[in-house]
Amino acid sequence: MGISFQNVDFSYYGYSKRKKYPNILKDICVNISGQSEFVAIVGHTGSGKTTFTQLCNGLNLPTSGVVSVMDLKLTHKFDGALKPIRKKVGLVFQFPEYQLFEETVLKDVAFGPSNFGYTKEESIKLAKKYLGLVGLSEDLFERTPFTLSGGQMRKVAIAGILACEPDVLIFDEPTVGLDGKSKKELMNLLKVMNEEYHKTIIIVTHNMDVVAEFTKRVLVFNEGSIVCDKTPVELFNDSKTLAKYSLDLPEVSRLAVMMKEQGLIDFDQVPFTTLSLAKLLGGKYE
Amino acid sequence: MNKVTFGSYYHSNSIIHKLDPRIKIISIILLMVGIFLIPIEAIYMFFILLGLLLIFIILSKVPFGKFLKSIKQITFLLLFSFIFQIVFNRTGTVVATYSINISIGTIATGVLVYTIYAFIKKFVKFKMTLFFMMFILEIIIFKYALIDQSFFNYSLNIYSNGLHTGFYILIRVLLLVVMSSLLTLTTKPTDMNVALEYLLSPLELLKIKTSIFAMMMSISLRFIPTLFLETEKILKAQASRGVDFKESKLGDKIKQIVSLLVPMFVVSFRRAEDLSNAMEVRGYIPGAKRTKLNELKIKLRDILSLVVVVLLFGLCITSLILVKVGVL
Ligand SMILES: Nc1ncnc2c1ncn2[C@@H]1O[C@H](COP(=O)(O)OP(=O)(O)O)[C@@H](O)[C@H]1O
Ligand SMILES: [Mg+2]
Repeated sequence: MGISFQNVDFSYYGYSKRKKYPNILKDICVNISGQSEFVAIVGHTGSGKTTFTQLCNGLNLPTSGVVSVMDLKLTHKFDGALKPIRKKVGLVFQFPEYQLFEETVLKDVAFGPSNFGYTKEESIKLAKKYLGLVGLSEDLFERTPFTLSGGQMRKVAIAGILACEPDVLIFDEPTVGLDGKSKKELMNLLKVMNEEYHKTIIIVTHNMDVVAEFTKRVLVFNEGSIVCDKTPVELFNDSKTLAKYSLDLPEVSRLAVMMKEQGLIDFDQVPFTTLSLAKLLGGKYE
Repeated sequence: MNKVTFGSYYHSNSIIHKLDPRIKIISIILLMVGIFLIPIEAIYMFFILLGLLLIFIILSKVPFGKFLKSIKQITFLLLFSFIFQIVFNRTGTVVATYSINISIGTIATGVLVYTIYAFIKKFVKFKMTLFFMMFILEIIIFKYALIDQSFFNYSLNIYSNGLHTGFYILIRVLLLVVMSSLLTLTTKPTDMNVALEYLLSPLELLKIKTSIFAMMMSISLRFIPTLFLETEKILKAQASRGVDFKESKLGDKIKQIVSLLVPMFVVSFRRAEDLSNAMEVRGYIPGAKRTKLNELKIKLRDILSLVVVVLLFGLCITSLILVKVGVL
């Protein structure tokens, strides 16, 4: 059981028989399993990536078609409780200031679990566990969230969603504006969540190195449609698609191609990750 | 919340839209005062005003429905004051009698009609029309549908003065509402703001900085849609953490409201800070003299329309004087 879109159209102006509003998303069909997937969503700004992520946990309801999340079928007529869906599918927004409100970091992270029916003690325990996982040092737990740095705030916001223990975790451009070290920490955290906790991770990103290094599947969005659904390696080898939707190769690959042109190295298969380039260069890496 | 439009401005290119907003505001104020001056004996004046207003509405190219919408918002007020007058004003001659028969039969039918109305209401668009249909049907039922023994009988006499005063109040309020919506429908909020700044500028002599207030107004107008969008984002972010107003207990609800309010304040303060810095960088000094990008200029059509309005105002005063002197 996971998330499945069947011929989903979406417009922000809602469903109306009389008027036809322009659709932001058009005829989306996609299946994402609820376990151990690692999906990247790429595409230009305004192509509907954020809108898509919000359909996944019932923040937006489709104007036509069906979004099945776990066992529930969401249509434009859906009128039931959305909380079970939000419990299963956690969505991390880009800007943490939209969700931090409590007096202390710990309380803020515990807010989510307590909404989903955990007791106070359980919530605090979960909060501590996930604040530790995102790498926030313990002396910050009792601080007011608003006195933290931007990067720390984002960590608290992410912990706030992780603490609800959803099966599917969606991140909307999580690495934008983070420094190199925080970026790496965050991506490694996602890797751990994916590999050890078997969570499905969906990440909206413009960073192709992240796509190549971490994800197992890429959805390319263009003007509201999914135009490509492949593995990263397949996508990066498909120069036609890359050119058509003006997507970049990872920096590593561009560097490798340049080095080949200069006659420094030679290869048949372009390396897409740092590791594979390093292997090409030195051959000593395991 | 997706269709964020502030105010009721309706875009069109009519002559009314093009009139100088200052002239429009002055005209509306004059006409409103005029309406209040018209005495009840000179009720025919209202028809002149109504006719003129109709011409303005047609000239403005704003669809009629827009005006009906603003009238709709005060239907109950209108209805209530009209019925109040009819029931309680007992001077003049009796025009009509309405007898109410209260019996088990009529009450049961009345309740039945209301239940049907409440049921149908959910499925139709024209709720107001349906309400009136229900209302009239109830009146008919209580007057005629007497099948069994009535145990209470009440006759309501409708007096001529009650009818007269009721009508007087009705048309007065109607005119005021239509007139003010004519102003707001044909004037952009920003233009209105500029015009108010001009009109209030004499207050500068009293050392009240009207330009600052005008700037505050225009900034608020500008940021209302933005804040709506931000609120939506906050709502969504908290909904992802399980905030759900539909199905939580009261104690949880309070916490959940706090979870919306605090980020609202944080985001607005941050915006305000950024904006004030950006304004300062571009040389804005509160209260300092500034030039205007769009100077308002009085044109011939503005003068003409003002003349018409002043004449009308004069007519209103004349009617008052004539009635007071006893000529009419
Ligand atoms: N709340 C909203 N109301 C109306 N239109 C919106 C709203 N949010 C986004 N849009 C529109 O939907 C389109 C897709 O936006 P979005 O999903 O945010 O794209 P992306 O995340 O890929 O940049 C854009 O054209 C945007 O203008
Ligand atoms: Mg986006």
